Amino acid sequence: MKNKGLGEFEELVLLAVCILEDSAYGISVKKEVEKHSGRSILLGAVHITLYRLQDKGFLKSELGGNTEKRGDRRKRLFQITQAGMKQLKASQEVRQKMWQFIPQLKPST
Amino acid sequence: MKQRENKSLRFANWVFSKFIGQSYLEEFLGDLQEIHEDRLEYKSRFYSSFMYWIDAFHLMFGFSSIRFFKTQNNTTMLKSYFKIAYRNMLKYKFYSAINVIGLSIGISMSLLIAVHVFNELGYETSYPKHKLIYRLASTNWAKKPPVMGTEFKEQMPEVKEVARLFSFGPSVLSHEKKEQLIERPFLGDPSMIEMFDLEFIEGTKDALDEPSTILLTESVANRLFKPGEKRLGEVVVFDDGWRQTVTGIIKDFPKNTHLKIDCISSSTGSFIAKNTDLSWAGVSVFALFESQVDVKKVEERLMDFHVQFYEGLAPEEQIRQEITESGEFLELHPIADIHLHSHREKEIEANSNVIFIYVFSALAVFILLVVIINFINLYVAQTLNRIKEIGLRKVMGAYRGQLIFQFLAEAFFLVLVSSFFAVGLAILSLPFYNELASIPITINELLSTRLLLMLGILILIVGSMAGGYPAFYLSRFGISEGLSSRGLKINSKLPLRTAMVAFQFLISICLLSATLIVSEQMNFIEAKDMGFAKKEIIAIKLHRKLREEAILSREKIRAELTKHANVEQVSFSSHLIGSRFSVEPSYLKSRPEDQLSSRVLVADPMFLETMGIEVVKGGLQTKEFVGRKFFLNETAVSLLQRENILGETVYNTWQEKEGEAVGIVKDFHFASLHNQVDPLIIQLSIDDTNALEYMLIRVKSKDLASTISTIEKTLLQIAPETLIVPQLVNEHMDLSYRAENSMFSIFKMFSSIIIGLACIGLFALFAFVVQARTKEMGIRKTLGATMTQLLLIMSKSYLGILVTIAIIAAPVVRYFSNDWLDSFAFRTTVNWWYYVLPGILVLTLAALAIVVQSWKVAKANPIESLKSE
Repeated sequence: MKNKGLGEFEELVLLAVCILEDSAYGISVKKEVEKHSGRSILLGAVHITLYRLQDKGFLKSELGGNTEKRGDRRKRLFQITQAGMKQLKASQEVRQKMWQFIPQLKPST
Repeated sequence: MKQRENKSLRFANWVFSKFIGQSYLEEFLGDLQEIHEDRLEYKSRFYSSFMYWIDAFHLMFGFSSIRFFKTQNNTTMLKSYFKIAYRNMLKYKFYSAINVIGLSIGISMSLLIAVHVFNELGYETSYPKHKLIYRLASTNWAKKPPVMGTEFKEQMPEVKEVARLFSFGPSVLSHEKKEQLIERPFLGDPSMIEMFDLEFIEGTKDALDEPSTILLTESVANRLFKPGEKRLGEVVVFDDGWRQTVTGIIKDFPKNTHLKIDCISSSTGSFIAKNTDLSWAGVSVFALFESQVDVKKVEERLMDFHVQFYEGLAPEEQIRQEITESGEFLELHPIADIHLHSHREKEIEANSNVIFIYVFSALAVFILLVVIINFINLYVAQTLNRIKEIGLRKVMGAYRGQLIFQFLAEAFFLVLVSSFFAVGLAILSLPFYNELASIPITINELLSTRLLLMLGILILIVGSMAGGYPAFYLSRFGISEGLSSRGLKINSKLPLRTAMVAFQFLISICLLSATLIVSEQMNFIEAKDMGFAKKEIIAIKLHRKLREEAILSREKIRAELTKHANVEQVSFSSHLIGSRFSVEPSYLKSRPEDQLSSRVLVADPMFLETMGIEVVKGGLQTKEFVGRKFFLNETAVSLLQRENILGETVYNTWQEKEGEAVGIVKDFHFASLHNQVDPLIIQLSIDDTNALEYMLIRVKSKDLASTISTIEKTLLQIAPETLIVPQLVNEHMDLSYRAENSMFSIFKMFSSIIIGLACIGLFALFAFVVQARTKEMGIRKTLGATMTQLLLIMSKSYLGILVTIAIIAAPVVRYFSNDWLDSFAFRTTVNWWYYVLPGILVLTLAALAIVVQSWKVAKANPIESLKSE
């Protein structure tokens, strides 16, 4: 369990948190990921991932912002940490590098 | 609705809060609620709540604060659970099998019943506008004059459309050379296309606007036309020579509607459109209301409408008084209520009865209760033997939570397996069920979401009830109780369990009594003297060429048929016995002020002889028959209140025909035994073509089949190329009890299953109870107790309860059976022993179960049971 890499779904969630900036919480993240990936996701899966990312130190969170719709309950707002940002960038770079080695996509010489 | 939903969500929250740590609670509940609100905006309330639960469960598993879900290394433990569960199943093969089989049978039967009940309750609901469609009818009469329909639409602004339907009975429809007997042809207004949202396969919605047009349902069209043949614009001919153009093919009507329509001829320009008779109540009138109309307000104006309808026939006050006296008030019936709640004259089809729904639902509940009780009893009894295992597990360091989980999981496992079998069993038994039931059930209906959801809830309930007791009660025991050689003292007098067994017993007795009583009534109907020769009369509907031949010369047909040795007599009549004849007004010429409204049958002079109807007084004196002679039945005579009716002239105002009353016939049952015998006038003549609807042929009862085929051959020689459908009069009579008959056969089947299951359950339970007292019996035996004493000691507590129950059951059954029997005008008398015998029977069975089981223990050598101490 102590691997520091990012799973595919974890990456999506992290990206969604980045996009949402200050308003990332369970449901908004769920909607964001659904919007971009086009699949439907269970709320529980999002929450579990968010907490796992927090345990790994990629996210930090605080409680705040209650609305009528939530029966006046506060939500937990997540934000990306330095480490999280680094991890995202790193995995992005790895991908980019590998793309360049795909034969069909090389500029023909 | 909203209330209930919120309750379910509140309950979900409560469960949730038990599992989830405080730190997470607020945000999660907030999220759950928010997402629920979101879903409500574009999904159904049901779906949203369902998803709420799913999400809640998902989060629970993800963030549970209970150690069980947290521990990472419980795989060994899980393996051991499975091993033990599996071994237990093998160790108690007999009980596990009874458990699973019993539960499967019970669940599968109740699934079938549930589908049946949903079908019945869902009558007419497949019409999109069914909530706005009402039938205009009156207190005892389901049909109304055609003019009333048009009038109703004009007078009531709330009515959007009126559609009138007329069924003209089985007829033969032909296209070129192909002939088909159409069971239910209808004549209908063009407005019904809109009202019932008929789906067109071919043709357009104005299909019925022109006169002499016809809509065929898909199945009828497939019978008349070859595949791929052109159908629109083709001409089809009814057997009376009525030619019509096919202007549309529509989808078949749904199977659960009382409008089982085969084809619809347009009423445009037909006699329905022309008929202005205010007293001929012959069509069903359906009204489609505008949405958001308060139908109650319309109902208040019905009386005024009714009076206005007969305006001009008499002063208003008099009309009002006549309506009140006749007791025939106009009523509006929601179309969906007709099938279960309407039993008027001239219904489109024989309707079912809401009582059947109650009976079936009760049966389903009973079956479920019996099998659930069995399951719980057996499972609990079985786990009591596992105290040692619990003790040992605790020594090895099992948490109580793990033990709870283990027992629950085992119970759920058994229930799940049973449910799986149950669905399979239900699918397998569909063909047999469909033999008995009036509406067939399809596999798709059996596997509908609604049912599977109910099944899911059932699994939850049974699993948690059966697993719950051992899980929470037994897991409390410490190591000492578990491992001491004494074991746990099992109290064989558990009040709850005794109550459950007593309840099963009560159900069994009631069902057995009910079955006996119902079959008694059915036999009574079979055997009742109907007042005419029931067995050997063949009826044949006259149509087309055959009818033409009969009009030309009925004597020729009679002569041809009576040549055969097996044909005794032939007669012609306007109606078939067993169907309801028309009601027509007549009076005695000598006293015109005394109107008699009676049923009328037109027939030829041979009728009484053919049908074997007994003449009480008078009769046909001479061989020479001239003019018209009337026979009255005893009821009609008593209504006329005349000393001597014979020789009087009776005048039928409708047919405008008169005849001399020459005889009185004994009351015979020309309708079903649900009804009292109505007054009846039989009009005999040799040339009235009204009588040429049915041919009645009395035959000798031997070689029936061959006689029927010779009759067919003879008739085909007289009238070639006609479709001849012979039916036996008594079979036609049986149609009026079809509902009861099919219900009774299903009822019988289910009762025997329930009783069987209850007995097996009892038997298995006693086996456990007796086993638990083996040591006690051993000690008693060494101290000198005799066999009889041992048996008594063991069975005393149960037998006492069972006897009490048997005594209680009798009056309960008596009360309900009287209710049902009273729905028949002619009911059997039920002997007192019908209430007592089932009790004694079931008691004997139960006693046998106890004694057999006790015997085994009592006979055993005490050394066996005591040596382990």
